[in-house]
Amino acid sequence: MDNTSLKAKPPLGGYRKTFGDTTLQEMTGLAIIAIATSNGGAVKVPGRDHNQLAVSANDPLDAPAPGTSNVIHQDQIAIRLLSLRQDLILAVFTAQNNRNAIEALRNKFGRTIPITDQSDAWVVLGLSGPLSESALERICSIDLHQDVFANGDLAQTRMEHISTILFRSGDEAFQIFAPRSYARSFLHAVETSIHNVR
Amino acid sequence: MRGYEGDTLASALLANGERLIARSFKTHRPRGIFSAGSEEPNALVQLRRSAFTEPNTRATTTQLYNGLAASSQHHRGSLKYDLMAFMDLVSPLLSAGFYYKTFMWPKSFWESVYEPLIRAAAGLGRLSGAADPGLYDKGFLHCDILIIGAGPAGLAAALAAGRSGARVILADEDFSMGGRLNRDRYEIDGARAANWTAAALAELQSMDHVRLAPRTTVWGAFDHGIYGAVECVTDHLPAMPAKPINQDRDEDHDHDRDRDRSPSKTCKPRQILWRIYAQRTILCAGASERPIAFGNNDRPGIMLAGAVRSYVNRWGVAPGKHFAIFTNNDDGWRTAADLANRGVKVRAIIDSRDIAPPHSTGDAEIIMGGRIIDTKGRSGLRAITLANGQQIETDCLAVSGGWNPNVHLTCHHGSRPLWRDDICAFVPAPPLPAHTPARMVLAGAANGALTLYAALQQGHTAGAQQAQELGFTPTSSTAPRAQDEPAATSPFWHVTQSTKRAWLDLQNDVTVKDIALAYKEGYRSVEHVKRYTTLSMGTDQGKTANIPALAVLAKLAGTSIRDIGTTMYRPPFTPVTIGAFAGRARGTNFRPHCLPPSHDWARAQGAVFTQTGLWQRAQYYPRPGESHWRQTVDREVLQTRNSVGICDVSTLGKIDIQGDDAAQFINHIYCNAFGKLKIGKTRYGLMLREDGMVMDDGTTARLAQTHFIMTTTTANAAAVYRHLEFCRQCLWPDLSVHLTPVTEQWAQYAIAGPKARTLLQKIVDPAFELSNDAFPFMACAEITICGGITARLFRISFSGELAYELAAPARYGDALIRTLMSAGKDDGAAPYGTEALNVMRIEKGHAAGNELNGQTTAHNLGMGQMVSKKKDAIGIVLSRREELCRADALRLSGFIPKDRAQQLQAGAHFIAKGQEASTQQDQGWMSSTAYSPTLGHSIGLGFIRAGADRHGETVSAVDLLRGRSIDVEIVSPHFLDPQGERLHG
Repeated sequence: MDNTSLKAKPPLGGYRKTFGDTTLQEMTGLAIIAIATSNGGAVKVPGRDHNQLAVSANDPLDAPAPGTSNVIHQDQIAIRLLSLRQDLILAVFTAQNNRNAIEALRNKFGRTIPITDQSDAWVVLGLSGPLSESALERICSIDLHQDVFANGDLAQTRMEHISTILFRSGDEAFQIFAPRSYARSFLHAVETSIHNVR
Repeated sequence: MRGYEGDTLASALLANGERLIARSFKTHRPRGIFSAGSEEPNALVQLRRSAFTEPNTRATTTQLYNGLAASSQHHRGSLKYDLMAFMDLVSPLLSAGFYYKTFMWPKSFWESVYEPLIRAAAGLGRLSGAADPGLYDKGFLHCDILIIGAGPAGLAAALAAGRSGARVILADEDFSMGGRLNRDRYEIDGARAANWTAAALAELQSMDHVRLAPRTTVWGAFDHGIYGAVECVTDHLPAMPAKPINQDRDEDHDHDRDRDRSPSKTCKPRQILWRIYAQRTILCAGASERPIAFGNNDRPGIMLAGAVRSYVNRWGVAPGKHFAIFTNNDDGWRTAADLANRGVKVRAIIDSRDIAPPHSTGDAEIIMGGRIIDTKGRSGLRAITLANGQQIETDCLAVSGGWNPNVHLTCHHGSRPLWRDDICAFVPAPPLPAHTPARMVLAGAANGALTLYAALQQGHTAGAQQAQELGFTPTSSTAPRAQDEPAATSPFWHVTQSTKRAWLDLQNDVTVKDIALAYKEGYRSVEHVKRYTTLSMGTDQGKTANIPALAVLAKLAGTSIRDIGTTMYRPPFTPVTIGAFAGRARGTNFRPHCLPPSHDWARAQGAVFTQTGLWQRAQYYPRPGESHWRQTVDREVLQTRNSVGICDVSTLGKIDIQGDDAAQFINHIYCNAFGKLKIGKTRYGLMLREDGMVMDDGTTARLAQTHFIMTTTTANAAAVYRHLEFCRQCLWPDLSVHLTPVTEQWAQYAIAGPKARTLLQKIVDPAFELSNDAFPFMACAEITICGGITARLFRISFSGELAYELAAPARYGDALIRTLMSAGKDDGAAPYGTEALNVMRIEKGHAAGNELNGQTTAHNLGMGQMVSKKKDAIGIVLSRREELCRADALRLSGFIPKDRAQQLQAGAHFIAKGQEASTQQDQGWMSSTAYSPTLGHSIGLGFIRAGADRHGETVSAVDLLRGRSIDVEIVSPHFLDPQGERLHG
C-alpha cells in the first residue's frame, strides 16, 4: 500500500481558538527529541567527566541548566533545547527538517548519545495573550510571575492530574506539553480555565 | 423587600423591620440577628431556590443583590408560629448529653421511631436533594507576603509591604475591605477613616504587585506557608449559571460537541478555592466581640454592641428604636456614643463595672455595677430586668463582653494561644508558641492590639519588616497617625444572679446550666465538655460562645481561664461549601481520560468502552443483530481464532532503554535471563519486587546492541517506570543507561489469527520478509509500512494465535487502524476489544492483573523455573524463601465445570468435595473466568494448592457471597494449543 493511506493526525486535529485577545492553539509540526545528556556515564563525551552535571557555561554540551532553555543553531537549523533535568533535554524544532535536525543533534552531541523521538508522545498547546497567565493560575501550581518564571523558563508539573511540561515562550505566551492520550482532557482543562477568567 | 447596594441580607432585613429571622437548633426559640459578620450564630437562612439552594447561610455575610431569594429555616408552619416551639417547653429534658441518656429503650424503637423523629427534627436547613448546579473552580496563587484581613492593621501592613515592592495578597472575607474602619468613626492621618480607607485601597489597587482579594476567606493554614482560601466570585451577582460547561460532558469527551457548547453562553464559577503559597504571612484577622450570659439573653433584638455600631454607621440602619447597652468594657460606651451622635435614643447604659462612668452620653440612664437578670418579649425584645428589679423597656439591647482576637489560624498547626489578663483574651503572645504556622506574624487586634493606633502601628511595622527580611527596600513612610481609643475591659462573663436560662452558645442552645451539668457529671477537660454539650460545634464554631463558656467552666472548677485553656481551633475558619473542594472535578471531569489512537474510529464503529485505569478502551464492538455482549465477544474471539482480529494495545506501557549497560540493567530487573538476548529478538520477562513477589510482566525487545524496548502491563506502566528509574538512579547509578517512557509515542495494534501474516503483508513494505523463517516467533524489527513510514514489528502473542504487534508513530494511529481493517476486509478481519482479549488469554492460560495481584510468586504462576539461578536480580533471593517454594504451594491451574452448562465465577474458593466451606478448608481461589466460545463451555484460571499435580481431580468452587457451589475439574491452565503450534505457525 502506498503512504497516502496513512495520514498523520494531530491529537487535537489542529485546534485553534481565540478568546478575545487570547489564543489557544495546538502546535503541530513539531519534532520533539529526548536527549540523555549525562547519566552515570550514559554519555561518554571525550575529555569530559561524565559525572559532572551538564549545566556550566563551559560544558561541552552547551546544555542549559535544568528548568531553562536556549536555542542552538546547528547545521543552520534552529533547535530549542528544553532542559528538563540534569540528564534530560528535549530538543524541539519544526518537523520539516526532522531528519536533518536529528542528524544535527548527533553532530552536536555525539554519535553515541541516546536520543528518543518523542514527537508523537506530546500534544503541545500554545497559549498566548493577556488571559494566559491568569488562566494557567487555575490549573498550574507553578509561580508564573515573570520575575520567578521568566521567558525561556520551563517546569515539569501537574495540571489537573496530568503530567505536563510548561514552557514560557514570551511575556504572555506559554507552550504546554501534555501526553498525547490526555489531549482532549487537557484541552478541556485549559479551555475551561480561560472561560473562567474571561 | 428593598435594599441598597452594599447591604447585607441582615442589614436589609433590619432596615425592613424584620427582627425574627430564625429558630434555634434544639429548642426552636425565636432568634434574630446577633452580629454583623461571619461569627453569626443565629441568623442562618436558606438562600436561593431549587437545586441552587444553600442552607445555613449567614444573613450577616450575604451580600444583597436584586432578586435574592432567602427563606427562614428550621420551623414547621410559619416562622412566627413554629409548631416545633413546644420543644422549648420540654427543654428541661434536652439538657447536656440528653442523647446519651435517652432513647435507650425499647431497643426496637431506636431505628423505627427515635431515629426518624430525630432526623426529621434536626439539621437546620435543607438540601435540595439535587446535584449542585453551581460552578466551582480552584487555583494557585503565590506571593511574598500574604496579609489576612484588611482592617486597619492589614491595610497598614499592605501599604508598607507594597510600597517596598513586595508581592502582596491582601485577603478579606468581607466584600467591602476596611474591617472595623467600615464600622467605627475614626480619624486617621487627619481624615475620616472611610476616606483614608478608600485612599489606601486606591493606592494598593494601583500597585501591579499587590492583589486585593475581597470576599476571600483564608480558612486554613497548612504546611510550608500554604493557605487555603475561598473566594466568592459570583455569589453576590443576580445571574446564576444556566448550564455549566464543565459538567455533563460526553462520556467519551466528544470534542466537537464541546465546541458547540460555547463557554461564552455560560456563567462563571461562583466560588474559587485558592491554594496560596506565601513566603511570609501577616495575620490581621481582627477580633470578634463576645456576649455576656444572662437570663433569656437570646431574644431577637439582643445584639452585640459592635454589630449595632456596624448597622448604624456602615449601613445606616437602626436595629431598634429604644436602645439599651450592657457592657463590661469601654467599647460598649462607644456604641452608645455613636447611637447618640446619630440621634438614636439610648435609654440606659448598664456597665457591670463599679467604676466612674468613662463617658457622658446624652440623656441615657447610666447604671454602673448593673446586672441584667432577665428579658421579656417572645418574638422580639421588649424589656430587660435588672438585678435590682428595675425594668427598662427596650427593643434593642447592645451587649459587649469584650473582644476575642481572631487567633484561629495561628492554631492550625497545633499551637495553643496564651491568656492575657489585661485584655481578658487569648492571644498568641510573642514569642509565638511552637506549632504556629511558619513565617507567620500577627498585627492589630488579632495580636491583642485592640486600639486603632496600636493596630496601625503594628500593621505598618509588620509589613515593612517582612518585606525587608525578604530583601526588599523598606518604605520610608511611617505608620498612619491616629488616636488610641479607651479600651479598658473587665472579666465579667455571666450574671450569676440570674435564675433563668442564660445562653452561651446560641447556635447549639448551650446554656450555663448545661456547662454546670457537664461539670457535675465529671467532665473536666474543655475538649470533653465541648463534645458532651455540643458547645461551639455549629457553623459558627463557637466564635461568640467559647470564651464565656470557658469562663463559666473555670469558675466551676475553681481555676482560671488561662488554666482551662481553649479547645483546638481547626480548619476551616468558616464553613466551606463542599462544591468548592470538588472544584471542577465532577462527573466525567472527576479525572482526566486517556484515549488510545483508535478511539475515534472505535466510537464510529459503535464500540462499547470500558475504563482501564484512566484509559478508555474499547470493550467490544457490537454489530447489528447482537443483542447481548456475549454474542459480540464470542464472535470476536472466533473471528480472531479462525481468521484475524485486531486490537488496540497502545495502552501497554512502553519504556525505551538505551545505553552501553542497558542489557546488564535489564538483566538486573527481570528475574529471568536477558543478558544474551539477541538483537532482533523479544523475550518474555518476569519482574519481581524486592520481597520476591511478582511485580509485573511483559516483553522486552532488543532493537540494537544498546537499545531495548520494554513493555509493561497497562495498569503498571507508571509504577514500572518509577521502579526502573529508582533502580537506575539509586541502586546502580554507575550503569550507563537511560530510560524514556514512550507509551504515548507509539500506536500499537495486535494483529492475531491464522490470517495475520496475510493481512500484514498488505501493510508492510515489500522489502521486509514476514515468513516464518525470516521473522519467527518472538522476532522484532524496525521496519517501514505503507510506503516508507517507520514502524516496529514484534511477533508476540497474548491470544495464543499467530500474532504480531505493529507499532507506528501515534500520529498514524487513526489511519493505521482504518488501513488494517480495510486491508483485512476480504479475510474477515474483526476488531476485538478487551473482553475478547481477556477470553483469549484465559484460553491460552496467560496470567494478567487478576493473577499478578501482588501476592503471587513465580512459583505460584508456574514460572518458578524461569527464575535464574545463575544471576542476581531484584527479588530473586527472597523468592527462594522456603515457604514460598513449597511443593504444595498455590499453583496456577485451569478449571472447568463438571457440568459444562454451568458458568464459573471468579472469586469462588476451592474446597475439597464434601468438606465444609471454611477458611481452614480453603485450598485456593478462582482468579479469572470466561466463557470460551472455542471450547463451548466456561473455563477458569485460579490458584490451588499443588495444582500442577492434581490435574483431573474434582473440587468444589464455593462462592459464599453469591451462594453458589460448583464442582470443577482441575486441568492445565493452557486450555488451547498447549504445544504452541498456532503461535509458531
